Amino acid sequence: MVMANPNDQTLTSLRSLCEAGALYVITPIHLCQPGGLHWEKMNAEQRAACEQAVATKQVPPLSSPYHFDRRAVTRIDGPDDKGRVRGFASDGSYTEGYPAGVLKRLAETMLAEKPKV
Amino acid sequence: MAVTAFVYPTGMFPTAFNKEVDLLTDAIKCALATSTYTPDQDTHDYFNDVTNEVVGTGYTAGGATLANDTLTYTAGSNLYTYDADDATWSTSTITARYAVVYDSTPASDATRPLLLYQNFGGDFTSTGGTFTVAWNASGIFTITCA
Repeated sequence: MVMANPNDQTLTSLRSLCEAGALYVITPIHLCQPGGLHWEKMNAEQRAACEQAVATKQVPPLSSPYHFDRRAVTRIDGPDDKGRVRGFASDGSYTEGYPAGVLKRLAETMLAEKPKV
Repeated sequence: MAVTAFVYPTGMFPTAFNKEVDLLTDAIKCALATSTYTPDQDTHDYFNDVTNEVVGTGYTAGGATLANDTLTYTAGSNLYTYDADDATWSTSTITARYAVVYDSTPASDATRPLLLYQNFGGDFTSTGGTFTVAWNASGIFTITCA
């Protein structure tokens, strides 16, 4: 009996979830900090409040991928000669690693509950 | 509670450029230390500099390997982020103040580069339960390329 290679199965999952639009690169940019999506929609007063919170280490929640700027994955490249793959967003952002790790990271948003804050 | 990660500059950067660290291929571990360890970012570069590692039920010397690690590049902001699954010690009875992340693949503690540490801000204890170091959802550390 020929056993399926678990890496091949993971790659298949990565590619099918990518096609379904279910994978996201999670950036370290908090939504409420400069560069984050919410920041762009804030007025000067809200931005000042955010900057004050960061300056005094009363940082906004960091526990969910929903708290960060996320970018949809549009293609999976690899594996390279070491077996690593990259999940790319259209702007060039990517997450790199071995297939199981990349799948887990890129699918975190899909698996996480949307937080109330 | 939110805690801050502190990089060991003399551990992370020279060793990375000397090809002593391979983040995605090597076994990167998280070790725990007690409050009597005093991190020194200027002089601590390899794991043999870390003293007072935790001893207790459910904890193996050297710490736990970080699983499913990845590197993420954020275009436009030039950010590189390292992330992995949370570090856990199940059915453990331990008390820790610091988490130390290092590359455990080189042959001895004197050649295992230190990457970063976290100060929990106080002692945290598990008593026959799971001790978890939960990383920030966006990653363990980020390097900004200016």
